[in-house]
Amino acid sequence: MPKTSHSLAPTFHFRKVECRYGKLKALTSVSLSVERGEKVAIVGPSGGGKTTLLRLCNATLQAHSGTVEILGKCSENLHPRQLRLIRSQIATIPQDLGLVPNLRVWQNIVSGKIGKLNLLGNLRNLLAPSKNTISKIHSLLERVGIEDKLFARTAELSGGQQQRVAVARALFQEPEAILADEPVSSVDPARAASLVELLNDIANERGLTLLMSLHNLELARNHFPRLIGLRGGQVHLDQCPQQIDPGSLEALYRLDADEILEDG
Amino acid sequence: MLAGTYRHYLGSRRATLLAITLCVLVSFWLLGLNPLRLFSGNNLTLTRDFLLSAFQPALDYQKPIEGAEPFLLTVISTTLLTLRFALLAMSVAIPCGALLALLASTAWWPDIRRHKMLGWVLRPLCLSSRIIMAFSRSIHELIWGLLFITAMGLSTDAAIIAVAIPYSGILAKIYSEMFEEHSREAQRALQAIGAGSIVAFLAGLLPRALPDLITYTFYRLECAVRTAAVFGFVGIETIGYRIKLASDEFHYREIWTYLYVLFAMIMVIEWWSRALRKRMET
Repeated sequence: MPKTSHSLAPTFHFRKVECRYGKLKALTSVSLSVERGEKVAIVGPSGGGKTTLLRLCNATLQAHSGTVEILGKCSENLHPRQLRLIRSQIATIPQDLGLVPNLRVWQNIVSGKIGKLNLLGNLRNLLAPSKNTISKIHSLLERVGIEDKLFARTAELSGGQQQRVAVARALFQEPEAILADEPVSSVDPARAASLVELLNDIANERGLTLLMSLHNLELARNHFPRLIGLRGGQVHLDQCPQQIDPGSLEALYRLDADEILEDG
Repeated sequence: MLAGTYRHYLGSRRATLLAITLCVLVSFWLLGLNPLRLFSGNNLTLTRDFLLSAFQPALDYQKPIEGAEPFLLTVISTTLLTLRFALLAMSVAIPCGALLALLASTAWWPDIRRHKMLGWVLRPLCLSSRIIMAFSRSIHELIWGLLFITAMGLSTDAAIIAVAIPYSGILAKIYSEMFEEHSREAQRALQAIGAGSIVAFLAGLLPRALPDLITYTFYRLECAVRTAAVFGFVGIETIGYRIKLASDEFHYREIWTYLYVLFAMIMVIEWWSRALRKRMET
C-alpha cells in the first residue's frame, strides 16, 4: 500500500549544488526537489551530469558547494554510521548491475540487506539463510518473473534476467527510493521497455521514489510523469513530458561544434 | 602512407625476432650446451637404458634387499610422506600468505581520505607486509632449507619451515594482486547501499576472486610436491630421497616408478583443482 507522503521531507532536495572532478565541473548550481513516491527520469546527453546527480543522491559523492538533503538529512559531514544508514535506505541499480556472477541468484539478492545488518548477520545470510529469508526472496523473484532461477548461478542468466535479479535485490533492501543508472542500456528495446515498466509498477505498488537515468528519450516520455534534462551539468529542463516542446529537447541533445570536431 | 607504416611495423618485428634468435644461439654457445653429448660414447648407452626403462617401471627392487619392506610398500609410504610434507608446508603457507595479502592489499580499505587516522595505521602495515613478502620470497626454499637444517639439524620440520616461508611470500603476492585486479563493480554496488568496506570486500570481491585464488593455491600445492621431492636429495625422506638412492645404483626402472608416482600426484591435484573450480562456477 502506498505510503502517505506529503507531510514527509522530500526524498531528495538539492540547493545550488556544484560538483567537480578535478577542474572539470560535473554539476553547476543545480537546485531541484524530488518528493516521496515521485517517479522521475533523468535525460540528457552523455557527460551531462546524470550519473553525478545519482551518486549525490546515494551519498557516494559529496557536493563541493550547495546542500544535498536525502530523506530530510543533509548528506554532508555525516558520521560513517549515519552515512551507511542513509545509503541503506536508498537502493541503487548501477549500469553494470553490480552482481557477483559466480554467486547464486539468492545470494546476490540477500546482499540487498547488507547495509542493514552487521558482519555476522550478513555472513549468516550469505552462508546459511533462514527458510523465511529464502521464501521472501522467492516471492520477490516471482514478482520480477524469474522465480525458477532462485538457485541458478547468476553468470548463467541472460542480461535481461540479471537486470531482474538486480531489481529483486533492490526490493529485498526495502528501500525508500530506487536509483537506477541506465539500467536498460545493454538490452533490446522490448526488454528495456518491460524493465522500465516493471520498475514503475513496483514503485507505484510500494509508494517508492524512483529516479532513473535514461538515454532512450522515448522510454522516458512514455513511462515517467516528470523529466529532468541535464546538459553541461545544468538543469536544462524539468517538466512533465506533455509540456516539453520539441525545441528544448533538440537543444538538450544538440552537438556542440567542438563535440562534432571530436567525433569527426 | 598506410602501406609504408605497415612495412615499417613488420620490419621492426622481424628485427626483434632475429635479435631474440641470435641471443638464444649465442647463449647456447657461451654455455657450451651441446645436446649431441647425450648420444656420444657411453652416454648413448646410459640414455638408451634410461629411456627404455620408462616402458617397464619396477614393481619390485631391481636388486633384492634382504629384510627390506616390499618395494611397492616403500613406494606407497614414500608417496604419503611426500604428500604429507607438501600439505604441511601449504597448511602453514596458506594462512600466513592470506594474512600478508590482506595487509598488503588496499581492496578492503575504507576511504582513507575520510578516515585519516586509519590511513596512518594502514599505510605502514601495508608497507611492512610488502617488505616481508618481498624478503621471504627473494630467497629460494633450498637456501632457506640450508639455513634451517644448519640451525635445527636434518629434520622434516626444518624443511617444512624452509618451504613455508617463501611460499607464504609468493602466495601473499599473488593473492594481493588478485584482490587489487578483480573487478570492483559488485563491491562498489554494495557500498552504495550501505555496506562497510570490509563487508563489501567479503561479499562483493572475495567470492569473485575465490575461483582464481583456489586455482593458484592448488598450483602452489603442485610446486610444494615437487619441492618436497627435491628436498629428498638433501636427505629428507621423500620421493627424491628414493630417486637418489636408485640413481646411485643405476636402477632406472625404480626411478621411473617414482617419476610416474610423482606424475600421478600432480595429475590428481590438477583434477581436484579443476573439479573444485567447476563446482564454483556452474
